[in-house]
Amino acid sequence: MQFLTQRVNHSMLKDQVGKSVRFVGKVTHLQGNEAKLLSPDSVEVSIIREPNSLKYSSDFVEVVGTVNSNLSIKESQFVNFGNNFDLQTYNEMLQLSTQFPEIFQPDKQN
Amino acid sequence: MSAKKLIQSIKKGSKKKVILSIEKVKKEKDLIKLLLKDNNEEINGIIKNFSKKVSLKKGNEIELEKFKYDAKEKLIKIEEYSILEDEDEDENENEKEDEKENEDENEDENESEKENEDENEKENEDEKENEKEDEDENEKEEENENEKEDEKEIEDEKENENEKDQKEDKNQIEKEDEKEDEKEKEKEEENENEKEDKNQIEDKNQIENQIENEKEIENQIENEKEDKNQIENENQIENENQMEVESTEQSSQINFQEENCIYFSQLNPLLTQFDMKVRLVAKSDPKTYTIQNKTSKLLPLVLMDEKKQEIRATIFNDLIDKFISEIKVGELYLFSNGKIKLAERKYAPKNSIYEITFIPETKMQKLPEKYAENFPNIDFELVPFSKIESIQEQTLIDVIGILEDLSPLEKIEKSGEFSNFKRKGMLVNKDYQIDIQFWGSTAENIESTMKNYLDSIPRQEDKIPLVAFKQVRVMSYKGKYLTFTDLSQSYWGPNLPEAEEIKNFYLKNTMKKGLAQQIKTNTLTNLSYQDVGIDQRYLISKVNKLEDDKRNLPEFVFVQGMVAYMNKDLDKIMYPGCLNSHCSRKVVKNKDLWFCSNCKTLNKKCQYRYMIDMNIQDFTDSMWCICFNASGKRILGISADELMKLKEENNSQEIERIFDQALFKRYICKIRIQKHIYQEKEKVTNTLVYLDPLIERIREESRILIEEIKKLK
Repeated sequence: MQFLTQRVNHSMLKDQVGKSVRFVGKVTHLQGNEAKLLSPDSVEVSIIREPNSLKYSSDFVEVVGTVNSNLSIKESQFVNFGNNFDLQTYNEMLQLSTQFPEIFQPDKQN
Repeated sequence: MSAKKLIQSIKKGSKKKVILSIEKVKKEKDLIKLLLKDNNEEINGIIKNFSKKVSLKKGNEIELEKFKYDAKEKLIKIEEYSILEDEDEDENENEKEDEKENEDENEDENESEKENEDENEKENEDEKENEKEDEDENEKEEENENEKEDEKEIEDEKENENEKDQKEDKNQIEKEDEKEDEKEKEKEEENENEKEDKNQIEDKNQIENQIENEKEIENQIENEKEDKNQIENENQIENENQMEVESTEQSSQINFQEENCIYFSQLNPLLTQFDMKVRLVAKSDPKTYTIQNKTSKLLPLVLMDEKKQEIRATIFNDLIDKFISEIKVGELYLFSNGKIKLAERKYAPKNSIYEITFIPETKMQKLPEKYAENFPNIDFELVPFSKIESIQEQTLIDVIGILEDLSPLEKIEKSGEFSNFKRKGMLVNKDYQIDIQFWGSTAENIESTMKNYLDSIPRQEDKIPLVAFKQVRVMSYKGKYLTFTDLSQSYWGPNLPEAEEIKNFYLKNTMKKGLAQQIKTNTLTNLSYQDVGIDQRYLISKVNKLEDDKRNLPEFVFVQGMVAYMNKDLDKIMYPGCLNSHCSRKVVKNKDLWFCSNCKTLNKKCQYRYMIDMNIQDFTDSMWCICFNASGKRILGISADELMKLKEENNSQEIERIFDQALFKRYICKIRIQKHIYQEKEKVTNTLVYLDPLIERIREESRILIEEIKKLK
């Protein structure tokens, strides 16, 4: 099985349980170990973080981690995406990525 | 020529009945030649195509019912006539015989009228070829038309007349019966006469009807002739008649039928006589213009009808003086008569189809306001400022806002022609503001008009220069701005719901009196570049294809690309330019000074400017562009003067670094494509007009890409 870190929306999380994903969202809560991000399709997803990890320093953040069975994400790393991120366009792109796997996913035969 | 005057006097309507007395009669094979006399004037006449006996004698008076005048041969060709009755019975009898015969002839003529008319038309055509005098030609044309109308009218009216005149006919029949008895006694021998009598009894109704028809037709003919003359010619002699008619109408009160008034939607280019109730919406100053050494002037107006349609009306030259002082904006008028033609799109208010030109018969009579019950006052179609960016250039729109930053009056002078006044301002509407330009007398007066308006407001807090402009034109130059046209009108402090909104917004957002510096403004400059639609974005491979084709080249294209190669020879990418910021011409060094041939000035210094040939690439293809000072500065990061300094200092390391960091950076570029002919070949040049680093436009770019992907389905 290939190791792919797919970009996901909330709706795609259930297909990726146990797998590594990239999740971009708007920070709504940030309390110690747990953070909550608003997904591109407007659902809050909770992120479980390491205790001493750096705090998010921008409104939008990309989190790389594995999906838990309760559809929360265990974070392994994050990237600050700044304060001017267009979540709606990103959402559209995610929808298109499922419709056009030939564009968004590398060739599985390789 | 006396005969001609006679004919003219006959035709002018002073004598509806043409009665001439016979001086001489000469019978020939097919014709009867007559010498006719009217008071003191003599004229020749002939009667053609008669089929029955004609007994015309010297001393008879005949009434010409249908005739034509031949100027070349100088005679009247009589087609229908009747001999006038005297009171003497004996003479009556004779004349009655004559009458019968005449009436027979009339009958025959009526019956064979169509044949006659065909021949007449042929004659007419011959005559037209022969004649050179305009009046005669007109007469004949009219008569042709008259004949055709006569046919129709005779048919139409026979039925009508028959019904109306039955009583009269009965009386006449009784009289005629008595007469016929006498006649029968006299003419028992002649069978033909008896037959004629019987025929006449039966047909006299018709004949008399026809006579009356013809008399009425003559009346109508004359009326229609007058009408036609009014419509056809401005230069004909019969203008006098028109003037008389007009003066009589003007002297009376405004006498019109409201039901006959039409709307603008009912106008068409064939109409010249019509009535319309209009309100004068806009009026400007008369404009003079010269074409081929001939100066003329025009005055444009905008009229509005009851259904809120608007139309442009123009007055030319002499007619301007007649109207200019009488008509006022906002007043209700009865507009009568004008020339309709297709409107020029550029000047058509509210996309009207037609426009009106004033003719000498045009009238604008003031109507009392009671007719304005259903008449809207001046109608606004206000455009929100957020939509102005998407409006096409040259469109006329209505806007409302607060006028600020009014610049002082500028005088623009053109070489040789009259100078014009100009003023600039800013129109503010909640979050948006847009530049607006005023010209001419509006520019002169707007400051005082604004002051007067503000002075008229009692409360200090309400003294906001709120104004609505009607029919200002959207222009585009580095963004959208508005300009006042001839027919734009300003309305200070209008009573509109939008006015209230704007005022409230303005008051909320001002901390201080006067200028509202706290308002967040989205200037509408450069918006034409900011919001680039996907339609204008091209892949470079596609641009190259279009340029090879050289047909349907767009004026501007937007591409996403990076600078792949640029010429590094510093002498070739810069030139010494004129210090004047508006003039970017190359200056020539003259001893120690730089000379500009455009501004005709000498300066100690020059301003170096970029002119770089560069190759722009995207993932499909590459294209060559030339870029000038502004774009060059953006790419390289330093101005040309500074680069020149580095060259003089021989700082090659720095120069190298500058060029390296300029290449292979992604930009969104606006490129202008121009065709020109070079050495008999068509060539295309691309000019890099404007560019933005892609980083600054990621949102837009993402959207564009998403749209592209969606298209794939």
